[in-house]
Formats: sequence, C-alpha cells, structure tokens
Amino acid sequence: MPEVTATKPRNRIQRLYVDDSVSESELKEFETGGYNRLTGKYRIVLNCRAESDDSRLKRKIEIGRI
Amino acid sequence: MNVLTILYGQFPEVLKLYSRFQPGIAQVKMVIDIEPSGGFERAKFLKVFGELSKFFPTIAHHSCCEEWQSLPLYIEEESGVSLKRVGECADVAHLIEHVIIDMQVRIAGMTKCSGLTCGWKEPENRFDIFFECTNARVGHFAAQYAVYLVKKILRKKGISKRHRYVIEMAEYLMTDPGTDINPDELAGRLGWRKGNTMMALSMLDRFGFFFSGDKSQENQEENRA
Repeated sequence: MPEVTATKPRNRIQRLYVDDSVSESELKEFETGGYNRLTGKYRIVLNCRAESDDSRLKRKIEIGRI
Repeated sequence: MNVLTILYGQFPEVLKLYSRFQPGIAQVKMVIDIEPSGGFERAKFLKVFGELSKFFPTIAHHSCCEEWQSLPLYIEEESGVSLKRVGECADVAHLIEHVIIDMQVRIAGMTKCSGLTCGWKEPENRFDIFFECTNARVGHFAAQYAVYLVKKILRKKGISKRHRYVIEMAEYLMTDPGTDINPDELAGRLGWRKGNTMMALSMLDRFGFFFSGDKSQENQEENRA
C-alpha cells in the first residue's frame, strides 16, 4: 500500500493524498473503504450524475399522489 | 470566478476517479478559479441552489457523491437539495458542475451524464471540472453559461426569467441543427417576441454555442475568459 496521508483540517474535510503510482486494485480498496479516490494532484473530488430517466421521476410522483 | 481553460477531448486519467464515467464518451475539462470567500455559507448556498432550481428543476434529482455512504465527506444532507455541501469554495465549483450536467442532458439529449469536480492541492481555490460531452459546442456553451449564471446569482443580481429562452432556443436548435438562424423566422416558428428571440441568439453566440472548430481544434481548444 502506498503512503497515504489522511488529515482532518478545517471544514471537516477528510483529505486523502494518494501517490500517482497507486494501482487500480489499491484504489478499489479505498473505494470499498468508503473513501473517494484521489490522485496526487487533487485534494478533494466530488462526483455528480444526471439521468433523463423520466419513468423514475414519474414513479416518484405517482407514489406521492397515492 | 475566472475560467482559465476549456478543453474538449479524451481524459483517460480521470476515468479511474469515478466509475460511472462511460468509456469512449468524450469529456470537457474546465479549469476554474473560485473566489475563496463567499457563496458556500449554508444560507447563501441554499438560496443560490433554490434560484438555479427555478431554471433547472431536474437538478434536484441528480445523484451526488456516490460511493461516499460509508464515510461521507460532506457536512450534511439538505432536504430537497441533491448537491452535498462540504462547506468550502468547492461547493461553488460543484454547483457549476451540476448546472452543466443538467444542461448537457437537456440540450444535447444525453440519457445520462456524469461529472467530476476536482480541487487542486495548490492553489486550493482552483478546480478541474470534468463532464461527459457528446457535442463539443453544447459542452462549450454549457460550461460558460453555467459560470455566468452562478456568478450572477452570487453577486445578488438574480437571473431574469427571460433566460429560459436561452435554454429553450438551444434545445430547439439542437433538434434541428440545419435550422436557418433567422430571428424573424425563428420568432414566428416558436411564437416568441422578436426581442426574446434576439436575446436568446445573442446569449448563445456570446457563450460559444455557435463555436465551430474542426476536430483537431476541438481537442486543443483553449478559451480564456
């Protein structure tokens, strides 16, 4: 496992600095450990996803009406 | 808030940062500096989010910070707010990313679109925003227009209701890319006033919607705003 620095500075952000040489399998360990995976360049990574799944939204509305 | 670079192409190095990125789909990388003070305090952030939700109602249905459930890095979840707040200027960059993603789905007709906001170690207020993109000019426009809207709200100027015409015009033009850009004709077809039509076209032009670089230029496109 490469050296990992985990600190909790201001704003309560857990920062993980992972060396760029980290392998895919090692990154997977971070992921399953609940950490997001960061490379050496970044201090924080936030992800986002949108889907145009209208049926999912409609279902929610229908459930709401019931 | 200052956009340093907008690039369109393949960025394989970020695929490993988020498993939802779809292999083979191009991305846009925008590098942006966020003012380190202001915009991410809870009350102000919620106000900005609420304002944007009027224009982008589906933003509330986005998935955010997936794979963080077992050790959340964010401060808290807010009711009705899809975006997870961490309490620093990363929140503003992340909000811009959500707006871009929403526009990608709506204007480019993507069935799904993923994005990533990556905060630099140094300087701490610099961010790389990556998002999937199937149409370079839509991505180019969405990035710049999202920055414009968020900046406007943060400066307490609010967004005019007329801005909805900008998004609707972009959607309309994407459904028929061969449409002649004639304000009179478009106003007639859409049933809009000519002033609103002109405003929408002008904003689209200002924020790069009519950008037309060839493939080699797209991969190296660099815009400084």
